[in-house]
Amino acid sequence: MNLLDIADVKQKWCEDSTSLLLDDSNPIACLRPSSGLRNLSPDQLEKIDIVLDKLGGKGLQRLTQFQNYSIDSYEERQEAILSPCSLEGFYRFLKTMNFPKESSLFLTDAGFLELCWEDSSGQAIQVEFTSKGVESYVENTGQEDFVPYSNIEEIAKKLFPLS
Amino acid sequence: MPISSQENIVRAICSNQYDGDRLSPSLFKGTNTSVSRLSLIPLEEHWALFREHVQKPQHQRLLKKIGEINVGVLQEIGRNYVESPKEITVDPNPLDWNRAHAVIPQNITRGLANKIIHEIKLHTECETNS
Repeated sequence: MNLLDIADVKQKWCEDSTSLLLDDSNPIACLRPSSGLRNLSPDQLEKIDIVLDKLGGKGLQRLTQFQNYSIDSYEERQEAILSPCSLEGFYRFLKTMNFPKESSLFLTDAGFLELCWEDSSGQAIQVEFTSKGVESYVENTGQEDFVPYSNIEEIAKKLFPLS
Repeated sequence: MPISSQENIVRAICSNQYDGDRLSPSLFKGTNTSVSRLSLIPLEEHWALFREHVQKPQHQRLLKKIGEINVGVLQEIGRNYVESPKEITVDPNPLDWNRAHAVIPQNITRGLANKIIHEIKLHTECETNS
């Protein structure tokens, strides 16, 4: 996604319109203006930039769906909602790490965000942002680890032990 | 009593755990993972069951696939998991809405969950009903 597209996404995000419909084929269509999502602060816009830069339009679309899901589900309490700690940890991780834009973003049943991608040899690398820290898995070594958010910078050593 | 290793079990896969490219290992990670027995309810009927009770369309959590695996294969994966071999069972746990409901009670690690999802057979609805 180029800079013009990013600007378009931001504009769509911020504009006061209810005409946008949810549509899996359109990465910006999920940016449904709803209460609390308009009038974004610079900090929120920076987070959008980071997600777009690191995960592309598909990643931003899925994240937005997960956030809407958590807002809409608040009353029901029957499903795990997106954990605020997980979301903050996710943003901090994105700022720290570089990984393929083709990564997959998931929301676990526990309400935690999870990122999955493969290394150059096709082996899985995965991280899950729990309420306390980052769980990681590197298929190449079979290593599973946990790093608290206070030491999130250490995660690079866990994920890329040979680099 | 755990169900037979001859049986096949299925798990609903919704859009929050499948993005069209990859499956989330969290589908099988953790304890008391919910599954359903094909010996009691055929695959075709699971679509309506999962759509009514598992997916949440109003929240964009849509049923995308159904994943199937044989219990014996599942147990073999557990036993052969080099990092930490595990005896896996599948226990009947019928619910009001699903008499075929069962659980995998053991704590499945992320690494082991990855081995399991590699062996999952994915079904789409049109293929199931054709």
